[in-house]
Amino acid sequence: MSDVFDLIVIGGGPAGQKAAVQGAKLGRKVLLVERSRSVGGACVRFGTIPSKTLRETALALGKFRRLTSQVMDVKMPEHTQIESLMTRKEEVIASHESYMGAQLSRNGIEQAQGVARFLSAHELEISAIAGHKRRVSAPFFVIATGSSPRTPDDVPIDHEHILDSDSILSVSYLPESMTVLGSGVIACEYASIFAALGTKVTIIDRSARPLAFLDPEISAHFTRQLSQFGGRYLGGRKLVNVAWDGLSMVETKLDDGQLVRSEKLFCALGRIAQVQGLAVDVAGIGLTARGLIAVDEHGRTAAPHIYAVGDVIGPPALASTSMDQGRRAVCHAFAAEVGAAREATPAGIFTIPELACVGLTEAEAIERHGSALIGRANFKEVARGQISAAEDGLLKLVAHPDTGVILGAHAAGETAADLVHIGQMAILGGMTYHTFIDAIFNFPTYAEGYRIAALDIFGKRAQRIAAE
Amino acid sequence: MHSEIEGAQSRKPNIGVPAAIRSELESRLSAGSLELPLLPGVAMEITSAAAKEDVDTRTIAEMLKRDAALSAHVLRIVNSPVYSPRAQIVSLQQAVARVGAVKIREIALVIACRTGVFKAKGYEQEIDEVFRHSIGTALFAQEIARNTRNNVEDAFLCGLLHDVGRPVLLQALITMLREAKVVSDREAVLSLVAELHAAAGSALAKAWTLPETVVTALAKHHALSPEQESVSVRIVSLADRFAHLAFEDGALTSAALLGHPALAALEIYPDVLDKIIKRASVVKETIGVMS
Repeated sequence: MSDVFDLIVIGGGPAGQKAAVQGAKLGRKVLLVERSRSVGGACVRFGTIPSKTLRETALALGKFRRLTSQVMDVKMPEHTQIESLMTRKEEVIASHESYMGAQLSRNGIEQAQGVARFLSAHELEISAIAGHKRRVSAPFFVIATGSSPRTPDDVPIDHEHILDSDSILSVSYLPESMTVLGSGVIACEYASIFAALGTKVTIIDRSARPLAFLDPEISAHFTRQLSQFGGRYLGGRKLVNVAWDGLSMVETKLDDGQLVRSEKLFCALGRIAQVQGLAVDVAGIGLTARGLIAVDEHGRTAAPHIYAVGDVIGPPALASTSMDQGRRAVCHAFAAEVGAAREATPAGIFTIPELACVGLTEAEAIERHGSALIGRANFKEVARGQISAAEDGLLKLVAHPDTGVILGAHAAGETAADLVHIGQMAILGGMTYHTFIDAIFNFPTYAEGYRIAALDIFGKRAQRIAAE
Repeated sequence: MHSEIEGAQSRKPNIGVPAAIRSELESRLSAGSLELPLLPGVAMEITSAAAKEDVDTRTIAEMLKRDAALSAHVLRIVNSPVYSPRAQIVSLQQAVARVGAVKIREIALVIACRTGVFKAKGYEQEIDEVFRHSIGTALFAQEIARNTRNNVEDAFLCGLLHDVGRPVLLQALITMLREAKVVSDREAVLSLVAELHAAAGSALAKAWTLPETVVTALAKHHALSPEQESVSVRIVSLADRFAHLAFEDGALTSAALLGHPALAALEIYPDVLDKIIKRASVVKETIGVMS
């Protein structure tokens, strides 16, 4: 006999939680299946939270050095234990988990710990760690099982010398050197954190520049800071061979003949959908060539009553977009009203320096509109940047060549991920750059950068008109 | 001198360990004045040298050479099937290059423990069993750590040393009893040792300046409360059970392990559990070589 629900959500990460909460808010009987003891998913256990606490330490250390270098000399002890640098990790995880758990119980969502497997298109079997099995069924399902690191055949990951994003924070000591494979968000975030803490980092990737989806001026801030930390980016290279030398180093051979030796190697060459054991084929769902679940604009899979959201469907695979997908899928399932999907989705990359973007890049705007108005504010010109000894930063505004309507905002430097939200609101509100010129901003703040960038556009435009 | 001990001078066998000796042992333990064996110099040097980036095979080999017994053991172990040498390894430098400095450090630590720590006169058989069990636990702990994405090197150390308090306490207790001229029942001695070994083990780990995770794991591996304990405690506790089942209590099956509190805490589902169980034959072979 199956227990019957209105909605069964598989996976308790950001996407699954929001899907479950939305179902409950619509008055439905919801079951949330999660293989871990508490909700949160990779975001809490291996990803966002642990890495961000480590990053916070690296940032604090860097800032302390910048502000006090005349007075104090801060050196890291030899063989620093990584764990000791994630001082607040346990507290942050505990409070995050208890907050999320409370939200689920408050909404009357039943939770089951175990691994799920489709028995048919409408029935699921849940196996607990201790082996108990339970059958459940529902007219609607949401698959939100997340992703796991992709392990290429030619990279022998042993979680000891050659690690992936699930095991990278398990290393005991801060390594003296590290090779990073990949140039995406995860690769660059960890690369900059370790580099800031003193590890000699080498990033290797096929892509000519890191974080290739960003405006090149923004990603250049990352590369410059990386080299200031003593790291380097080797772009346009292919991997020939990776091996642990059996003694003390990992050796990475590149197609240009270079041999890179490092104490540890971190492989961050993408993530694949985590659907092992779920038997999605039984429910009539296949995987794409990239190992992801294909969905339509509402999040429906090939089986229309089964939705998939979050990392299992691939990019952008951000916690923010995943939560939105979860909400939208469930609203669609129960024919509840939902606002139009927004185009202006921001992306925040927590490298050092912080990078963020929303809307069109300069290149995209030129492609779409023939040309673009570009305004820049260097943090050097922003009083707040000078005060905080954080002058290395940039805010770049992209506006429509004729109307001056804001099309994109891109930032690098302190609070960049927060800063682009102002640009996002301008895009959503259809505002022109004039709004920023006429507005008053708090002084001293980074937000003043918007006014400076808008004035930059204004000045350039005036010059161009005068010349014409 | 306490009357109980004076009474024992007549060499009447006592049933238990005299209360005075017990409390003396306990107070030495809590005061940190228990005599602890030193990690033999060469093993200590190799341990710290192997962690450095620029260490070369020659340096490690030179260190090893200074301890003939250690060198002989290393050569015997690296020539065993576990490390599947392609050809006979005759030099220490070859040995280090073949199996790696980190592995050599592990081997050196194992041998140092074997020759310097895991010994107690009159209790050779018991200590021998403890040692074999420790290596088994270390190797299983490594497999558990690898499969749960936790630190593999720390797990080995925690497993190897989780019972190190037993020989340490036994040596201390034997000395105290001898000095007090008391003859205690073997069972009573061993049971007191079993009772206090976790505290003694963590004191030793502290004295050897091993990582904090190791100190904690040694202190708490028998008092598992899944909600609070650290990962290393859970791993050692589970590895301990693996080793018992595999080599002492008969059958290592997933059914026998189900219900172990660390499984839920480490979130080890049956598929991963089976994967670790399948490593038992390799673990067994390695124990044979190392002990």
